[in-house]
Amino acid sequence: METNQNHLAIPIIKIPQGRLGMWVLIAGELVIFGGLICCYLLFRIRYPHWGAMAANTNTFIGALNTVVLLLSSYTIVRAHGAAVKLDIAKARLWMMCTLLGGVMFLVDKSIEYAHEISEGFTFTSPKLVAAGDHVGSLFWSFYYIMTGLHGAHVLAGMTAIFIVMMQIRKGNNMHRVELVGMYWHMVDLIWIFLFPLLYIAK
Amino acid sequence: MTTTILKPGINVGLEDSHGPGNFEPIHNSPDHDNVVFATAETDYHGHPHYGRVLVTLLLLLGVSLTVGYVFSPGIAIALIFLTALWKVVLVVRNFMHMKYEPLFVFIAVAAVALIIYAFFFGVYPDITAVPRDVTYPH
Amino acid sequence: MENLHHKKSFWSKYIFSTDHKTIGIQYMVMGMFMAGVGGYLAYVFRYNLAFPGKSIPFYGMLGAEQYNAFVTIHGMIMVFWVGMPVLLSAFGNFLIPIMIGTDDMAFPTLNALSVQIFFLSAVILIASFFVPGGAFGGGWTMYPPFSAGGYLNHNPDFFKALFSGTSLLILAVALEFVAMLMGGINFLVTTVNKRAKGMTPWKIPVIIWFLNIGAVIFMFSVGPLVAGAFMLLFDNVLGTGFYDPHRGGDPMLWEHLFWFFGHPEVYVLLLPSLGVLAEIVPVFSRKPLFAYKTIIYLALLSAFLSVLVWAHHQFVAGIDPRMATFFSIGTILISIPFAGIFLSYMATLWGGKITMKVPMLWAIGFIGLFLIGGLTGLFLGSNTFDIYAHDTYFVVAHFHYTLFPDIFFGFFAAFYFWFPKFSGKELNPKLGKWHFWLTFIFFNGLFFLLFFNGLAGQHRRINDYSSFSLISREPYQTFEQIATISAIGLILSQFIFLYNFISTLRSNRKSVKNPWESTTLEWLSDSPPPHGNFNPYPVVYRGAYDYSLPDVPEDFTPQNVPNPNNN
Repeated sequence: METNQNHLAIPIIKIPQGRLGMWVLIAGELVIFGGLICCYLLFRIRYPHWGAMAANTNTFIGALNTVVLLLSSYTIVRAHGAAVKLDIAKARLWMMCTLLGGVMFLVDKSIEYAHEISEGFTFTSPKLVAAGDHVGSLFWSFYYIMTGLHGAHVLAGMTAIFIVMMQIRKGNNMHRVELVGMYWHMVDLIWIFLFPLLYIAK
Repeated sequence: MTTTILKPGINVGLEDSHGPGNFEPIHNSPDHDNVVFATAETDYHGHPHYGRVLVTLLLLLGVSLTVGYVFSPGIAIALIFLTALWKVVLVVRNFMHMKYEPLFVFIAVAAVALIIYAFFFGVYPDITAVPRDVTYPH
Repeated sequence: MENLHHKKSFWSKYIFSTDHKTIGIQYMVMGMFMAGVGGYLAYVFRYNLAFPGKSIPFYGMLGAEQYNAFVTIHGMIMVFWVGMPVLLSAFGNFLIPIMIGTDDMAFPTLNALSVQIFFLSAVILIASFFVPGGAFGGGWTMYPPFSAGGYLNHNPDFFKALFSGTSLLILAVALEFVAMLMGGINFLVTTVNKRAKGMTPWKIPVIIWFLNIGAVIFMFSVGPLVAGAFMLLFDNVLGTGFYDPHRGGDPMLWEHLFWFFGHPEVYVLLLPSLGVLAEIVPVFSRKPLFAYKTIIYLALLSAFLSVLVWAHHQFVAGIDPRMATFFSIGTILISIPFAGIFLSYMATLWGGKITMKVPMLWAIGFIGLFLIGGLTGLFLGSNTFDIYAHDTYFVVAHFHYTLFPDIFFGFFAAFYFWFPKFSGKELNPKLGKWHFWLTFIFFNGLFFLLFFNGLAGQHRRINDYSSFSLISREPYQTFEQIATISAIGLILSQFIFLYNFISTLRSNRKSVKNPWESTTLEWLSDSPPPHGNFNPYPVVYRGAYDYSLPDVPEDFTPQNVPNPNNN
C-alpha cells in the first residue's frame, strides 16, 4: 500500500453531510432542467417561428419576477447569516421575507398565466391548432411545462423554508437554514436561465 | 457515541446523523476529536458582501433587458446569455457559497454542465439539421 | 427520535424501520418477488413462441396484445424492479455502512422513504395489468407513437388517459427513479462523509467505489429522461404534441432522451456486480486484488464514456450518419475499461490458491458468460453489422448474455457470500452447487441457440412464427423449443435455491464469524449485525485486499490490524 504519513488524520473532503447531500440533490435537479432546456433550445433553433410566439410573453412580469427571486435569494442568505450568529428572531424574519417573495412570484405568475390563457395560449392551444399553427402550439406546450415545473419547485422550496422556519423556533436544526437557502438559490438559478430563453430572446 | 452541544440550551443538528465519521467535516475547529457535529456555527466559513452581489445581479438584469435595443439581434442574444451565465456564476459562488466549498463540489456541479452539453451535442443534428415538412404561417 | 433500547413491534422493526440493514433486505425481498413475476411473464411468452396456438399451462391462451404487454413488462421489471433494487439498493444499503465501518446511512429517514416509494411504484406497475386496456405493450423502450396516446386524439379524456396502462407505467417508472435518486444521494454522502477513522479513499473496498460510481452515473443521466417522461405523460393525458411529427414535435427526441439514460443504466447495473466479483475473487484465490487503483480509474473512465455511447441503440432509427460513426467508436472504446477490469480479475486468479466454493462458482460463471455477451456487443456496436442484426434474436441473446449474468449471477454470488452476514447462518453448499450448475446449463440452453435464430433473421417482436414460413423453417423452430424447455428448467432450478434459503433460515446451522476468512470490515461485527453495527467502531490501517502477506502467519490480514510499515 502507499505510504501515507497522515493516514489517521481524517479530513479528506471538508464538508458537512447536510450540505453535501444538498449539493448532490441540486446537481440531480439541474440535470432534469438541463435536459428540458436542451429540448426547448433544439426546437427553438429548428423553428425560427417560435420568436413570434415568444413575443406574446409578458417581459415586464418576467423581469419583475426575476427581481423578486433575486431579492428573495438575498433575504435567504441574510437568514443564513443570522442563523450563524444564532439570532433566531432575525433569521425567522428574513425567512418570512423570502416566503413573501415566493408568494409574490406565484401571484405574478398566475396573473401572467391568466392573461395568456385568456388570449388562447394554453397547454395545447386549440386556437392556434385550429388556425393550422401546430408549431406555435408546441411553443406554448414547452412554455407551460418549463414554467410549470419551475413553479412546482418554487412551491417545494417555500414548503421547505416554512418547515425549517417552524423547526428553528427553539433553536433546533439551525444549520438547515443554509440548506433550504441553497435549494432556493437553485430555484433562482433555473429562473435566470428560463427568463432569457422564454421572455427576452424573440 | 459522543456529542458536543456547542452552546448550552441550543441543540444543534442532532437529528441528521449519529455515529463515527462526523468528526471530519469541521472547518475552523482547533479540536478535531471532541467536536462531533457540523453545525451552523462550527461550519461557519465567512461570507461575501451579499449586498454588493445583489446590486451586481440587478445591474446585470438591467443590461440583459436593454441590449436588445442597442445591438443587432445576434450580438444581443450572445450578450444576454453571457450575462445570464455571469449571474449564475455570481449566485453559485456567493449565495450558495461554492467559493468556500472543496473542489469536489465544483467538479460535481461542473459534471452536470458537461453531461448536458454531451446530450445537446448528440441530439443536435437529429432535431435541427433534418428538413421536416411542417408548415406554419409566417 | 429512535430509542435504541426500546423493544419494537413487528411493524416498526421490519416494515417502517430506518435501519440500513432492514432497508437493504426489504429491497432484496421486493426485488426477488418482482424477479418471480418477471420470470413468470417470461415463461408464458416463451411457451407461446415455442408452441404457438397452444394453451399455456398455468395461464391459458395468450393473445397477441397480451404477448406484447408481457414482453414489455418483463423487460421493465427485470431492469428497473429487479436489477436496480437488488444490485444497487439492496447491496448498497446493506454493505456501504458496514464496509466503511459506520453505524448507518447519512440520512436514515430519507432511506426509509425511498423504500416506501419503491414499494408504491411496484404496486402501480402491477396494477397496470388490471386497468381497462391492459398493461402497456409497446416495448420497454416506450417509443412514441406506441406510448403517446394523444396522437390520434387531440383532446383525450383526462382520467381515462391517466388510468391507462401507458400512463401508469410512466408514473411507476418515475416513482422508481425518485426512490433510486434518494438512495443515490444517501450512498454518496455516506461514503464521502461517514467513513471509519483511517479509511482513506484508496483503502475503500472496490464494491463501495463501484456502487457509488454507479449511483453517480444514474443520478446524472436520469435527469433528461425525467423531463422527457413529463412530456410523454402530457402527450397522453392532455394531448400535447411533443413527440408528434404532425404537430412539430419529434419522436426521435424521446429515443434520445430514453437512451441517454438507458445506456448508462446498463453500467449502473454492471458496476455493482463487478464490485461483488472484486470482493469474492481475492477471497477465494487468497491473493491481493490485482491492480486495485487501476480498476478504480478504469471504472471512472467507463463512467465518463458511458454518456457518450447512447445512440448506438438508434442506428436504424434514422439518426445522422456522422453521429452514428461517433457513437460506434464510443461504443467500441467503452469495452476497453471493462476488458481491463475483467483482465485484472483474471490476473488475480493467476497463481492463486483457488477454492471453488459456491460464491466463487457464481463469480467465475459470471466472468465466462459475460465474455460471450461482451464480445457479441462489439459486433453490435459497429453500425454496419447492427443494421442487419437490429431487433433480431441476436440482440436478445446478446443482452441476456450480459444482463442475466450481471443481475442474477452477480446477485447469487453476493447472496451466497454475504448470507452468513445477513442471517448468521450458512447456506447448504451442496444444494448451492446444484443450483449453480443447473442455472448455468439451462441459461446457456436458453440463449445460445437464439444467436443463430437472430442471424437467420428472426425478428424479436413476433409472437407467432407459424404464419411466416420463410423464417420459421427448421431448425429454427426446434431451437425456439429447446430455448423454451431450458427456460422452464431455469425457472424450476430456482426452487432449489428457494428451498435452500428457507430450510437454512429455519435450521440451526450457525455460521462462524468470518466464514470465508475475508479482510473487510463487515466481518468484524456480529452476524447478523446489531443496531449500530460496531462496538467499538473500527479504525482502518490497511487496504481491503491484504491476503497472503509475507511475514504474516495467517493468510489474511483484516483492515483494522495496525500496519507497522505505515508509521
